[in-house]
Amino acid sequence: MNKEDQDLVAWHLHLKGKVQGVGFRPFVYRIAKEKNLKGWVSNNTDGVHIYVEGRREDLKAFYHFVLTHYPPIALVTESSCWEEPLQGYNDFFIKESIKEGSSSVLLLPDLDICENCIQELHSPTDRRYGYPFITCTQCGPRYSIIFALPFDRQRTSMEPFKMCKDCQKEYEDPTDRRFFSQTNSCKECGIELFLRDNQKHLLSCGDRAIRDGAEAILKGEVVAVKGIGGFLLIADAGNEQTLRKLREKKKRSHKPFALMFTDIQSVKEEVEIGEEEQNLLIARTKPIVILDRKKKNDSFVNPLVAPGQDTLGVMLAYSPLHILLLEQVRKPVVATSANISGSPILTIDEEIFGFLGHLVDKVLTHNRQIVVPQDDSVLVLTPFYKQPIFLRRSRSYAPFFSLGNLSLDKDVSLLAMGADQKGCLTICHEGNIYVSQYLGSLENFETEENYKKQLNYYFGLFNLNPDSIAVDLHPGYRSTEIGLSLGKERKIPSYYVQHHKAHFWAVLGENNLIDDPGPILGIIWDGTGFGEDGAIWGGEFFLYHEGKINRLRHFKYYPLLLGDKAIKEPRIAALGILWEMGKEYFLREKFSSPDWHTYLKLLNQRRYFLCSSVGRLFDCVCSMIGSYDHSTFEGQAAIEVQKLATRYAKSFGTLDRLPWKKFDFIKKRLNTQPQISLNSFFDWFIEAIRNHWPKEQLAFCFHYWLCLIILEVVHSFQIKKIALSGGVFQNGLLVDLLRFFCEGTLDLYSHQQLSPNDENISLGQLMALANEKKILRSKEKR
Amino acid sequence: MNIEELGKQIELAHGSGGKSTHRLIETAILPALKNSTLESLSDAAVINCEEKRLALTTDSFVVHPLLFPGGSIGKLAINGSVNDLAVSGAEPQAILLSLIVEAGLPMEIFLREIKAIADASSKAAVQVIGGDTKVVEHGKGDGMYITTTALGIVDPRINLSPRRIKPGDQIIVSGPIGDHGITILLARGEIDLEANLQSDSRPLWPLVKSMISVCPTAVKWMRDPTRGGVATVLNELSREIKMGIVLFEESIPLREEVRGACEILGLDPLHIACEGQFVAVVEKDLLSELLKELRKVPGGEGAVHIGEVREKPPGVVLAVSTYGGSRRVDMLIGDPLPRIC
Ligand SMILES: [Fe+3]
Ligand SMILES: [Mg+2]
Ligand SMILES: [Zn+2]
Ligand SMILES: [Zn+2]
Repeated sequence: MNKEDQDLVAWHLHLKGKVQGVGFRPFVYRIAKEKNLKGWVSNNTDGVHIYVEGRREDLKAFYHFVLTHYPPIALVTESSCWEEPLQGYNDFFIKESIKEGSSSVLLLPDLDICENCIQELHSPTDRRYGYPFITCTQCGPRYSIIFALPFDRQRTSMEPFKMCKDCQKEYEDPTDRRFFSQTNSCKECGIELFLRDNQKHLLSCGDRAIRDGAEAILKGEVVAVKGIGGFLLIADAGNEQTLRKLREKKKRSHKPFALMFTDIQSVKEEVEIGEEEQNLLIARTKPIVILDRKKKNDSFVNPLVAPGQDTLGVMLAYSPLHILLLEQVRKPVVATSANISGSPILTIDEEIFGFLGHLVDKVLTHNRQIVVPQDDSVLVLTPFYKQPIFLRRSRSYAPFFSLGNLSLDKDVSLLAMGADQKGCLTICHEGNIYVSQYLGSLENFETEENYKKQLNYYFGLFNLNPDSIAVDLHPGYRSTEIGLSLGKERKIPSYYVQHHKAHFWAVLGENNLIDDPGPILGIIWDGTGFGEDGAIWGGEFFLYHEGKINRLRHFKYYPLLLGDKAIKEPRIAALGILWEMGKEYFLREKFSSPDWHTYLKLLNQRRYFLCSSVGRLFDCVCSMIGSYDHSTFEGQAAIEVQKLATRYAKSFGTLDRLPWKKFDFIKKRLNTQPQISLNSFFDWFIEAIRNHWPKEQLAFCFHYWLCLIILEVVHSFQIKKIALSGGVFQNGLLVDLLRFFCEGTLDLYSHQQLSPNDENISLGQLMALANEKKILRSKEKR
Repeated sequence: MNIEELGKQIELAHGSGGKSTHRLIETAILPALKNSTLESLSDAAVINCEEKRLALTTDSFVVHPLLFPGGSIGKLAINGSVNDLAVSGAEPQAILLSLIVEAGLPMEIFLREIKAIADASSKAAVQVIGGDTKVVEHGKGDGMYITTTALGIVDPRINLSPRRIKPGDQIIVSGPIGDHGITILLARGEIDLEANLQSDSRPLWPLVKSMISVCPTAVKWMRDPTRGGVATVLNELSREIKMGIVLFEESIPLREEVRGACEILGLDPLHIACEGQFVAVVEKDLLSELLKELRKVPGGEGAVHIGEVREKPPGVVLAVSTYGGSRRVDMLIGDPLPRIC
């Protein structure tokens, strides 16, 4: 060993990513102690800093170990290391966080309860036995309780709770699981639980509150339970009377309710679960997963939970409070966001009493503030390939977004306002991207207020000062208006991004395709978006090449009457489409006489919008086959058509067993030039309905036709890479069919971290803007 | 003046009474004719004249068809102007009448409209004391256009001023809304509905007078929601006073026929024109007194409380339903009901 190796040196390590509030410092502390190194570890607003002294060889080993063995819930996205002058410390310690400097640490999503904590929760000898707010460095709330960065107790809503002696001891003990746990608390010093009736009267506290709450649920009452991201309304999933009351008073006639279970075994009794489904259900993010309902007569779950659906939305209890409560109820419960129809999830007791007093019987609440409201996230798996698709990205995912191979200039800050139907904000700050949780539909005023609140929150949290603001082209969007007036107020330039181009940018960004030599075909299908020519777009084929997007093809414009009303009544989309073909009489019986004559007059006077939306084609099909003419919730018609087609496809077990020959005739009914024409297919469709083809087959043919159109366009342009985005691609059957036909020959890209629906618009806007400003690059190329 | 904001040419939407009209007035007309009376943008201008306060208003009427259930352009032209006086707290005194007639208009129709004007003015207890008639070439005038200018004397007891409005003040409407706008749509055959509906065109002074006689100071602001409907006048108010206005969705008075027609076309009744109703902001404590009094007057039976002024959100009109969320009620945008006066 030469002399140099024995000499002590000092290194400074800087780690970025999901490194705060995940037990990173205790981990570093333990390793340093084990290896007998000196120095310190500290959280800064730009990540974790480690100053460590030792022999060069040991430091190397230490650095490598830290990067390869950090806690499983952490994620290091960048690391750097440099030598510094030796200070000569005689111990290793954890330094207080430094608040100065830039705040480029990632905001961590909320975590479910970890295995160790579950064990303690259930162990009668443990001092946290039955404590509904048990946490450790590896679990518990994060994003939902943070006021400011970095993640330290005094900057969260844990601040009012002063740790007792025992908790403080754990917090200071480097060998303890709760060493430096910012959410540490216990029955002695922690959060208190209360049960109140809907007149605000206190009924019981602590353990009693859980017991009484459970009893109320069993009696058929609706209990509002304050959880991680907001209140959930919890009720007995088998009690028809309760469910009827809930539906009536929540003004929610058909939209399915989610269910919460305590364990995977009881889930298996109600829904079909394979390995992929199970993995998703038990993941640390604990989303609601839409699963196929078991066909059985003795189901515990009342049909009113999901009227007319073949599926159930299921999640496992994810917080200790939910676990304790459900263990007392001893059966699955309905657990739905507590809100007034269309408004954001409620987080404050007073709001529950004020707005939901008429439908809530008891309120199980606690005294820790929810800072960032979030709904439960919702995912579905495609029926055959089991690819997960986000339907709503919120609790436990937001606002984290991994850029993968992309990197952004650190000194540029951008803000993107998203769309109106699925409000969502994206910001780029210090080289990181944050995509907010789902913020709801801005046509509701309370939702708009919540959206603005979230915007202000980000401004405060990151001390944001954006260089540009990206907005949708739609002149009537609230999000556009709010973005523009913010820009005016603060003298920030704004930048318009067309809705469907934003969808395309989003899927390109998520798949690291911005730098791809291309060409890439973007198939962007959704409900409605404002097009560059003033028409309503929604069935678009774009070409991406060298940073530019061009519109190649679209569904031939068809008439769409009455704007927003058309979206609520599938029969109106159908009328426009069949009228153009001269076949409107097929729909005559769906309309009253005044409706019929009024609409025909409007059509004849050409008083309609031009529209290329595929979402409205689903409406049209839904109405034509006789399923729904009026929707009671957004997407109902598309879900119905997909359900019927999936039933048909699934009846063969696997896709290769389908009688494809039988549907060969559809190949002759494609007409994609110069634009994609509907006539040939819908001509046949009308005939098939008249010939009493089963609904399931009709719906399947429609899906197949859509696939064939895509394949035909792909072939005519000789493109090898296809990217899918837009709300239509929440349809798992369509995604699977495409994959079935493309596998081996074409590269198919879709969303992984975000939903294909309008929740991805803000990311897409931001990508478009970043591309315009040339601040995006692939990491290898730097 | 910002031409870009206004567009290259006059569009029909500039006359809709909604957002575009508002913008045209604010960016093109007001700056050019700058004076404080004009800028108050009230229905009638009030002029201090020795002891008395005079109210002066003018309005042009273009409507197709000229005759419709419950009225015609002549009746509209008188009631429209006297109502602008009434909601300014002024009793109508005299009218000037200006006719632009298209060559080829059957004499029968011309005489019918003159009679309608005469009937309406005698009903409103006001005389036409002067006027003018021009004839334009065939094809250039939609049959007949009328401009009326009306003079009134402001009742000394009333004090209308948006500056007096405070959070907690209440909003009333004198009766069911949207009758006129939907009647016109039906008369044009735009909705194919059998409906027994009439334009609500009528003079409002008797109703206003009844309120003045019981508690004049309780009334702080009034408008007749013609083009652009209740939504538009309340939006103008909320922006002016920088307070929020909340409407109780379920209490907005609507005839079934109007509701049905709006449903068919996906229209918001709050955007539909009235020609015989007013919206008023009144003091909370005297709300029931006023309503009681109004309901005694023939034609005032349908008066109801529909909302209130709140501190927040400033400049926004919201409609709330009992167990639903709130929705933002905007001014009329675009021109879904072209050329309704
Ligand atoms: Fe979209
Ligand atoms: Mg007027
Ligand atoms: Zn834990
Ligand atoms: Zn404690």
